[in-house]
Amino acid sequence: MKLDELQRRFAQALHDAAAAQALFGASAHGASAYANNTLFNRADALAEAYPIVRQLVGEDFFGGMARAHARTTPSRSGDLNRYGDGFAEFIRDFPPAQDIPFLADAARLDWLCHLAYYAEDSPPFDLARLARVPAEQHGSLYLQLAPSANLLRSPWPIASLWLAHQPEGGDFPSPDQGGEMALAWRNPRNRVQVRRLMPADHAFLSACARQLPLAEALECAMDEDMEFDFGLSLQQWLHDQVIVDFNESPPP
Amino acid sequence: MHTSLPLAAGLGLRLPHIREVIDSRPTVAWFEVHPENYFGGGANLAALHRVRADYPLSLHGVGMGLGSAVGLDAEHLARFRGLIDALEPASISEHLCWNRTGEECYNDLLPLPYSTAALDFMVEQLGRAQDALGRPLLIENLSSYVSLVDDAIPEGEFLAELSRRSGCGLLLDLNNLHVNEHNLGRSAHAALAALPLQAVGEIHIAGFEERDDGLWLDTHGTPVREAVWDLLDAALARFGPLPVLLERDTKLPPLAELLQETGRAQAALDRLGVRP
Repeated sequence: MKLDELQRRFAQALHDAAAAQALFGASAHGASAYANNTLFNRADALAEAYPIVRQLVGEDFFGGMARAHARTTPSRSGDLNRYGDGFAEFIRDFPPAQDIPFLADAARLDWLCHLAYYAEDSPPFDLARLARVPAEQHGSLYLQLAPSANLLRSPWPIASLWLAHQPEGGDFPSPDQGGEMALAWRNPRNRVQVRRLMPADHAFLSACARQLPLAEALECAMDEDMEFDFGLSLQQWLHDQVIVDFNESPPP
Repeated sequence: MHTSLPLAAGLGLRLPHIREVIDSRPTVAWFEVHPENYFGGGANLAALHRVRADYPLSLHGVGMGLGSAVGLDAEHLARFRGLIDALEPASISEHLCWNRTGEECYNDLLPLPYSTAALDFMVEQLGRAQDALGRPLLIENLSSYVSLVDDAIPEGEFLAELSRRSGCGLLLDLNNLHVNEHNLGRSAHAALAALPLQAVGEIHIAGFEERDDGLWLDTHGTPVREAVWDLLDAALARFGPLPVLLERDTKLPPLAELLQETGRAQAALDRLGVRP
């Protein structure tokens, strides 16, 4: 039998007793060990990646939901830390999870934190290089967010909810207190952080993420808040390594 | 030489213990980690650099799926290579297995048939992988829960031939031999006898668990069994002193317990008259 055909039949045999018997003969009962490993490896990967969802629904409910997802959603990479990027959409459509309307957005934020945890390292912002750019050209610079930085806009108080689940605490928000915008990234001490953003901050950072030049990003921020204090915000983003680099021409 | 690991007992280091290792710098000759846990950057990689500063390191891959008929995953190889360049480990290793089809990755160590066709394919893929990684790999024998209808070559001879033709070294997992003997009736001692003396670069020991129907599962979730300690003595008598690694992946006990068990592996080496 050719190897690719054998491997296809092996995959089928994980869930098909007759196929297992044909391929494995007397050892066919061992096939269930692989089916089990595959299922639980994926479910365990989801449990690692979605800690807030797990806390919100409890271990048993989470385990059932994770296995339901794992049964229908293949892994694509040999690196299990990459498994689970569609779990929020699965949760949104998972009938037993409808009691918690903000659960899918909690999952989205969990996933952004997971991406931040494993994102590539980046060197800190090179202020000396910026100092060599004439001030009149600053408006045409393209500020670059850290590889770990991602934004989320939610109709739920999602950043406050995340913060309330951290060891250092924070009050639990009332779900109907209104939407929030959140930034997830990894700080200079390699800790994943979530920050609730004001609309102008969110508008500015998301413009940078869309690769707009600084002058246009500023316009986006001012559209949200005429009083937007760009100097103060930029200082904090550089200090926290949310913004880590700049380009003088549009990135490819 | 396939590795520059010390001829001494090392320990598989898992993330829950890494902080304690950095803080307490326990007496152990070397550590082995799964590179997939350190792909990307951040806190895990920063911690591993600190471990590497104090100990020889082995990168033991679990996700490459070298024998997948669909081919190698170039991005996975590139990430592995990045870690090798950053950490300069004393050894790199992977498994004699496949893990995915074109549609799906199984994130497990799935057995290849021991056939001439599979051997030819593995030699080819291993050559490509070693080129991409820039150095030879040690390849580990699997524990398998099934035999394949295509199996034609005994396990030990398959491994010996793979090493001879691809230039890879062998990572001899004694618990896997023991588990296969129970599950599939393959003789562990026959496999040991078939392996060429110079090819084996590292030994793994670990524990397994028993399923309700009597199938032994290679979970690395218990201490090493006495039968595997006996196999260790037999392997060291045949191959001479080698780096010996204790693996524990599930039901992790306190680090101190694992260090004590690693000490027993060191004692087996010491009985040969080897200094760590």
